[in-house]
Amino acid sequence: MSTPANIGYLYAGILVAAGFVFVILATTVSGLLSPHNPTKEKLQTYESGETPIGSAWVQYPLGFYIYALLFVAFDVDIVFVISWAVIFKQLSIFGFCEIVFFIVVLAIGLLYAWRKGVTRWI
Amino acid sequence: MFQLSDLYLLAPEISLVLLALVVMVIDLFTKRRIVIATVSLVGLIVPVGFVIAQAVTYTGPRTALFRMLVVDQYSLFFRVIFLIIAAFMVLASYNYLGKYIKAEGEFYVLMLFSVVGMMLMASTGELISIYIALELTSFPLYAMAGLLRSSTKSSEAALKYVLLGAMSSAILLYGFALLYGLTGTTDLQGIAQSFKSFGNGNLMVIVADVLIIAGFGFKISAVPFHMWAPDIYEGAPTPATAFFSVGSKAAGFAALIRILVYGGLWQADLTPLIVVLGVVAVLTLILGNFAAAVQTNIKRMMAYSSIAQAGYILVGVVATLTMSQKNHTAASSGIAAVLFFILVYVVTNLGAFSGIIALSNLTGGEKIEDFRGLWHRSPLLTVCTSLCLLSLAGIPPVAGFFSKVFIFTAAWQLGQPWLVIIALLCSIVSIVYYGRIIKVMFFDAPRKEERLVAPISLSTTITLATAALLVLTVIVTVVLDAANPAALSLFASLLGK
Repeated sequence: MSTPANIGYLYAGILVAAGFVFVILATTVSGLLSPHNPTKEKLQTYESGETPIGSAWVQYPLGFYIYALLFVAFDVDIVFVISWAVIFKQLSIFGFCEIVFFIVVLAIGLLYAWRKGVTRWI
Repeated sequence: MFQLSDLYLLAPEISLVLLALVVMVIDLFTKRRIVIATVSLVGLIVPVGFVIAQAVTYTGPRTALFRMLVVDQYSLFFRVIFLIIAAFMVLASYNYLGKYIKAEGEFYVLMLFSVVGMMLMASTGELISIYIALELTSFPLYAMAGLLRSSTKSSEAALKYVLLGAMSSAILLYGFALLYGLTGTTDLQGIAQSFKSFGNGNLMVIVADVLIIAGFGFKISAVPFHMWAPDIYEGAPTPATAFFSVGSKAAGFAALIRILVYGGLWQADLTPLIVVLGVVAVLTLILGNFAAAVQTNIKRMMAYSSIAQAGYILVGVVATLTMSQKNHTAASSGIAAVLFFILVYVVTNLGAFSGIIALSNLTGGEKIEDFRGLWHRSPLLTVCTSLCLLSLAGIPPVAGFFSKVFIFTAAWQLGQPWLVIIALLCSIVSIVYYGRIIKVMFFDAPRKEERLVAPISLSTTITLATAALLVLTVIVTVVLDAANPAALSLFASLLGK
């Protein structure tokens, strides 16, 4: 006899099982019913777009990654500054000090990147 | 909402962050290692001063920033431990950095940021802050593992560490999410209150417990979540390895105990929690000790040895939980033993690692056989390293003996005799592998005759560590007097204080 508190697990279990059954059923039925005649065009990555050249497993210049990292720094910056600006009035002087500290820390990060020569494209 | 006293309670962490930023900026404008190291070391005086001030004026547990920060004796105890680690690390890594790593400033900056995270892990009383503190601890560690840029092993170590760390964080977060779902709050005191009414047999409580133990299991390298430790310890630069083995582990235990005890998880469904942790402890003890006995590389051996040490600490944690429901005061003696053990372990392992850094720097090898006959070539280093190893093995005259005795007697009294017996048998195995290094250093014929002169920073570190170890041996009761209230303070919030 299950308690009402635990009956939810039973429903969740039934839902999970039903999910599995549905996926297996759908794939087998469509596999049985659908016609098979693969052509070269159909098997390409982008059937109706660019023709892929070579493999995707090539080395990209490292500069891209470093630029991506710098971008993330500013991205996070904007997320915080906007949410701070929305409630600027409530936070008053305390909020102002916090955001200044935050930007100073990010600026030190930028200073670091600049001194390490990241901003120069190799 | 926000008060100036909050800033004071957070001052050790704030000043450490500022120190890290200052070191970072200085590193950009000077290439002189001595300046960076001196600023780091002298700058540490400020957070140390704040912690001492808070300890001296301590009147009772205080919370700040909407109960995110908890300043009780427990967090003060761990803050002291982490600041000790930081100071030792600056000294111990100084010479190695000049020799092997180009990014010297980065090493110090990463280390300091990581220590901030560790201090926060011990002193936050809220799940999300614990998670953020954990990530603040871990991210610098990942980067530190890969600082040997020309070594493929080091890069491999860093990558493995990132991947496994991310996985363990995910598991831990899942556990936190379940706790939040069960109680409707992320505040540990709130969780403790709602766990009062939880009966036995709640499946979700057990799942949450297991996930949290698994998540922290990675950080403290407990079996079966230990696989990363040997590879990463071997590949990472040796000072970073020393830092992982003490910092990450102590912080992991600090947060785990904080959640289990302060978060009041022991109030509901104790048996599964004890069974799970007990099995983990036994596996950790057996695998750590036996695997350490067959290693030939000293860093791998120290990795397994640190796994084994985590096993002893887990014995203390399990014992505490056994008694938590019946007798808080008795149960807290288990935590007190754990705190003392962690302090001794930190000092000892830092000493042993500075010895290893020095000796492998001088001999150019990391195999145990490279250490042959070092007694004839560098007596001071050999004696100090041997003392630290003896302490790790738990041989009587040194502090390691007392820390093991405390943890074993506490566990025995709290009703876990079998765990104690297994731990004792494993201890005997540990004497074999620690003893082997000592034997190789003292009695085997040296490879070359020429004397080795250790650089001043390293010989200072190891002498300091050994001295600290001997002092700890003498002032055992003083430390215990600090550890006991620290352990009790975890229960304080639940006893209506």
